[in-house]
Amino acid sequence: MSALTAPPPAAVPSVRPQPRRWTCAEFHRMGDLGLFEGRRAMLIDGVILEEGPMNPPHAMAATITEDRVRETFGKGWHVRVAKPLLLGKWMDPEPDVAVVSGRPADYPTHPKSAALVVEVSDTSLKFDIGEKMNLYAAGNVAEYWVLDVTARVLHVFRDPTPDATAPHGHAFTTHRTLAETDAVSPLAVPAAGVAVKDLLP
Amino acid sequence: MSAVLVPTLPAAAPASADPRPWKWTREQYHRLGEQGYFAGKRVELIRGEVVEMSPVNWRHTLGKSLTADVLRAVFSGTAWINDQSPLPTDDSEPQPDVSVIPGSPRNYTDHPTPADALLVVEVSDSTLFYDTTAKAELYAEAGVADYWVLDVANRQLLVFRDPAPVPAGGTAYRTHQTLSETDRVSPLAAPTVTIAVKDLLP
Repeated sequence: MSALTAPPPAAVPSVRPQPRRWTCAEFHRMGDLGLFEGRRAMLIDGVILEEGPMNPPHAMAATITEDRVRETFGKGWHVRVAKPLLLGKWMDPEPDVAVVSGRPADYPTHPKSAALVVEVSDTSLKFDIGEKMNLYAAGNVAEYWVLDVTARVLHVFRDPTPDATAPHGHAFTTHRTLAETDAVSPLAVPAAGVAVKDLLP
Repeated sequence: MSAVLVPTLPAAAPASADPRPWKWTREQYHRLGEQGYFAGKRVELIRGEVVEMSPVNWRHTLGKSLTADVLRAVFSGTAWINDQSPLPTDDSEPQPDVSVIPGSPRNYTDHPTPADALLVVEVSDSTLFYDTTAKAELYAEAGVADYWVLDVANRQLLVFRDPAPVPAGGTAYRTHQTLSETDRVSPLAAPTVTIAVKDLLP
């Protein structure tokens, strides 16, 4: 019996079994079955990701933001909170806040884009201003805000543009970081404005 | 003669709580199956993740069939051959190509577990690295005493034994042998029997 002591060659071409990728339709049916009950799941590139439980500051900021954004946009828009946003067959990030034109009844299927998406970020900033930013740009979301409740700033991303070197092939070319003392006017309602401090808990 | 296999360590925990891959429980995995999510697909649950098995080619099928026949003869009357059926652990439900389970199937009221298995064999053509790393860790951790990877591409048999905790964390097989076509092997659970490696190979 000959025995070698070296581990098997790692350089041979070898396939790692691929995770099963899910479509939005499958993902939503799982939600209907109650499989995500009480947990926060999102679908990114066919992969289901889970965020940890929402901390009180995050929940508070999300509620405050939802109210301020609804007031700021006014008539002709509606605000969806932690609802599906179908950015493609394999992509539903379920944003904290999304602003969509028209009335809810105008959408027999989930919206495919939004005038504004807001994510409230306490522990997930790296992901929210990183890969998530790229995927909202890829979904042609006109404007993306990340409310960083820890640093008490608002990141404003605009001008989604194809960028072959970026994750998901897109990025926002404009990125401003606003302090508590600043205010912002959404692109879709330029006459309206909201103070950053009014979004923060 | 023996080599310590260091398991691949999990990447360092991210500084911030980035979203992490959703982990399915076995119960949820079975519910998805009942709902038809895996219709027409061959899947396994590996550490909470549903992975698709690659399509099998004839070389793989033949290696598996030959190995099952040889082991069925070796363990006749003392154990049965579990043909690609689940061997569940807490968060995984691998379906090894061949496993040898003591007694008879009627002794079991549910799937046997890896700890029950006298021997687990994976037949590998395109998945050698995965079968000898991630899968080996999974089986070592689950207490499979004798794990074979039949490498049909390179015509050899890799034998992993002595699962033990490693200082870096996790569990790994401490003994690893690579046997060629001309070698013979004795299952740990049938030490007086010798099997020609070439009899397992296509």
